[in-house]
Amino acid sequence: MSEQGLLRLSWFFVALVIASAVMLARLDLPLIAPDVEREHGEHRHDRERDTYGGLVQWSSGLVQTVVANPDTV
Amino acid sequence: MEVKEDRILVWDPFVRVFHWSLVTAFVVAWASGDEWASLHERAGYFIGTLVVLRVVWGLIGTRHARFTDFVVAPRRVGEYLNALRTGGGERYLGHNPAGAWMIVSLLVMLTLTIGSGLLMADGEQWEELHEALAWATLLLVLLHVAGVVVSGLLHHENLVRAMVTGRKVRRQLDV
Repeated sequence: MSEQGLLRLSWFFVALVIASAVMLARLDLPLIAPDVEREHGEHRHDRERDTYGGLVQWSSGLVQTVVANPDTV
Repeated sequence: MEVKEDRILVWDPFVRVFHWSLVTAFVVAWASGDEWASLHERAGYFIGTLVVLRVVWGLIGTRHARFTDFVVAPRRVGEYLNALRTGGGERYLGHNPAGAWMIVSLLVMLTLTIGSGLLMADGEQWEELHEALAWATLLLVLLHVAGVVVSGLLHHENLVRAMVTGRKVRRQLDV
């Protein structure tokens, strides 16, 4: 095929790229590794709980200290 | 010596769309890795599709897209890098020897990364391998970007723009 013909063919390959992107966006694909995802989610929630829980505990301790000893402020 | 210049089409539309689609999909896959599995997997499938299409295009595509145009003996990579180090190094209109092997390496590493991702359907034991391969691929990407910057500076050309427009200046002394 001539170089001009191949250039036209390259547009067909571009169309394939676009079509595959659209198809992948629309398809309802099952997750490959739902267990791993669930575990990641649990770890994330644990992490978030630890972070926010720790923050709440630290804040409440600070408030209690300040209320009990107003002179320290 | 007088150097004649003219701007010609080097990268065909598919090569350019492939390149920037891969960049986008890789960033999406990386960013969504731990946080958004469905998006991560879609990005992985898309990268897999891109790799397959690029391999096919590497066999039948336009002149500078074909593997036979740019994949050279590995010793040429060493010679090219040595020449660069001493301030020389011929300018290539298509891929230079180092860039050529980087493309091959990236295609292989992306295939292995996608393969290990698919194997995660069998269990979590593949997760560490998948992550290690993804990091190795990221390292190659960074080396590729560094190579583009160095080559662009040495030859006084904007290779990023060339990958957008597809056009490069042809010089009399080009390989």
